[in-house]
Amino acid sequence: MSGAKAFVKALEGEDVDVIFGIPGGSIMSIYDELLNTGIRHILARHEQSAAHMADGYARASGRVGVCMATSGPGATNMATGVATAYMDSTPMVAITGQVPTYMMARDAFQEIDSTGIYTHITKYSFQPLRPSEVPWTVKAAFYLASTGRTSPIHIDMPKDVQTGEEEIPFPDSVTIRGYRRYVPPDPAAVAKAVDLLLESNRPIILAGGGVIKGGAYDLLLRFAESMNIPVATTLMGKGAIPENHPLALGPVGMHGTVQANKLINETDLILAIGVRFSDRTTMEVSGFAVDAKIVHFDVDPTEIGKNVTAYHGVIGDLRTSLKLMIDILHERTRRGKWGSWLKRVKELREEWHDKIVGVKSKFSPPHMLKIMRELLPPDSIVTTEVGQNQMWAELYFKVLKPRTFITSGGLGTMGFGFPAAIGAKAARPDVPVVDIAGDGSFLMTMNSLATSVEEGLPVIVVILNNSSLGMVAQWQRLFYNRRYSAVLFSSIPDFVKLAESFGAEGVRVYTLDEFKRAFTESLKDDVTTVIDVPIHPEEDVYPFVGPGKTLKDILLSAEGAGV
Amino acid sequence: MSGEKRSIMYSLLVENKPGVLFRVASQFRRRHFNIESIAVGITERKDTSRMTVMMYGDEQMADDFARILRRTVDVLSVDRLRPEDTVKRELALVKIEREGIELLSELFDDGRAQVLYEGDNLVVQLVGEPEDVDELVERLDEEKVLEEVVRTGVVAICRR
Ligand SMILES: Cc1ncc(C[n+]2csc(CCOP(=O)(O)OP(=O)(O)O)c2C)c(N)n1
Repeated sequence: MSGAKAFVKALEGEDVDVIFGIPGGSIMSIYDELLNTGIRHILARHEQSAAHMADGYARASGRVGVCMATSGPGATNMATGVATAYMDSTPMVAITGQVPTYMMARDAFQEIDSTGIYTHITKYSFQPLRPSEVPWTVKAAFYLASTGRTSPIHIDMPKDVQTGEEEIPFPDSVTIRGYRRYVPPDPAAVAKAVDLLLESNRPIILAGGGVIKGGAYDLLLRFAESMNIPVATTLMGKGAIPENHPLALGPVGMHGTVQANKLINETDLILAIGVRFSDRTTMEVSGFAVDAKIVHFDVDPTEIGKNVTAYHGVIGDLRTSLKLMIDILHERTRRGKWGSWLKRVKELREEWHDKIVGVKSKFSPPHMLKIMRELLPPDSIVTTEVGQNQMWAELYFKVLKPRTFITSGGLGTMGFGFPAAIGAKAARPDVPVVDIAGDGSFLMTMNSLATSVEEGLPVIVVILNNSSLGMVAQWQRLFYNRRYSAVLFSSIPDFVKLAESFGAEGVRVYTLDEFKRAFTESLKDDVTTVIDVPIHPEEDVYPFVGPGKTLKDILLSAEGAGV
Repeated sequence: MSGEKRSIMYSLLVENKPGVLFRVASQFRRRHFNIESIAVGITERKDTSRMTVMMYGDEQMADDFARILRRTVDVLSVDRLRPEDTVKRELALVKIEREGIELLSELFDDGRAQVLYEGDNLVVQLVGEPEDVDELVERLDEEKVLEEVVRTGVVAICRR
């Protein structure tokens, strides 16, 4: 059997149903073998987008996303997408072609040291050197990608390993000596966390992306409800708890909600679950939750104490930890007594939960996001680009289910949202998928319109169009004396015509009513639709905690109104 | 992170295959940790190598970094070697001018130096605790007879 045949057979063995990619010289044998399988290949128009599609697919479904590119430029193009997935711990297998082993390190045509590059943006990079190693490698890649802290894994496939023929064994399972995938939480450590909780007067849960990745959201909700603990999230944790739940406070951070940012500074105990305390979440760390003990739960032992000092750490699978906590609490008769704390939580939540702050016009993104929430069924998926659009979505779009809010949190990659939406649609063709976009980000990967139309993966793109790199412009308005440097677009494409030229639909709206109508319409149609929404070019995102500031310094407007 | 900085030693068991040293070294590089010494060799098992790595840092760094190394795929185990229960040795080959020969017998009457080659110059083997090797090399340098030094890096083993 050839290595290429063994490769696709191994992929089938992992139940891969879709691959996003672009072919090229050094990966053609695998592409040829794909024709003999039932695996669907979705042709991207740029390898970065192929990786974002696989990422969106994985985040929406909880399965391992697969993307594929040729060697050299294919591998370097795809790297941004893989790095994006790495920063957000998406389970993914990224495949690249490579020049034949006998040509390596001679600067052969389209040769690049892909393993060298990908080692830094994946949990592991494999390069099988014989066809017989291929099935083991594929199995190991999926195993590493989907266990422990989930992550992209890279497989570099030299051309002669694809074409070579030999006897090829297919293992049923793999063991990797140097990999500890799963540390069961220490029951004593969990019990101590429970003690700390019961001793506290003002506890809060901070739920991160790990809760969603680890499938711990049901248990989290049960735990929070049974103990009456308010739940704030990180950006990546949006969806860990329905954001319309009375205990839900929304996200903490630079563009966190007023209630979450305030309460995180008033709490005496943070149960941090599957969070990595990103600097966008904590802001100036010396002023972060100064009165709180932090109890940090994570599957990755290196997270404990990395960015903030944890008073107590519980290393292990989050589901098991939460289950243990629930069990222990079940046996104890003592209950937390935090009545006045809950009163304070309720008070703040009622004041701020639905409030729109800092907008210049009634035709503002927050208004539109509220309309979208009303029109979208709860399990609809929303992706975002990066910039103001993303932060408005973070603040004003209430996520009701896990895996329905997909954003590039760690790397902040412009151009992520649209291809990620297409990937999510491939995973969940049954639900509407919407990309909340900025015009700058959309221009980075809008060529994915071709894929969306060609593959029958219709999504809705809402461009909050300020004819600028809005988030950078906002910072220049606030921190650089309104000196605009390289942020204003003077050549603006006609997004309606652009969409139409790809065979998609385009519509421009100028009022909330028009927006409502267009959005309702696009939900009915099964075609890719771009809704161009020209917004006030100086609309800024608030609440906002400026760079270098602590979460106490919440700005509500450009004039410096605080709370 | 603060605290008193001192020499930290790790003893790692790793897969004996290409790319492992790169993966381990990358973890140091990213954090601007300088590897003061590294020695790699095969163990009693063909598929397993032992790395003895030394860096400077405080306790906090040392603990955090042990966890980072442990998480690195292909690293099988990570042990902190504490000075109080560690035996360590380093070997150096030094080339010195011929005139250094008298100095040698004077300086190194305790067996820490052994002449391996005598010709126009001398090749001498120095063995000892890394600090001893430092000291011997320094002495030779002070006497202006030193031409070249090649050191193995520290190897160490836990006494218990
Ligand atoms: C690939 C990439 N390049 C540059 C940046 C820096 N950056 C962050 S936000 C932003 C502006 C985004 O503009 P747009 O997509 O129009 O969104 P808006 O902020 O206007 O909503 C830029 C340039 C980035 N995050 N990603």
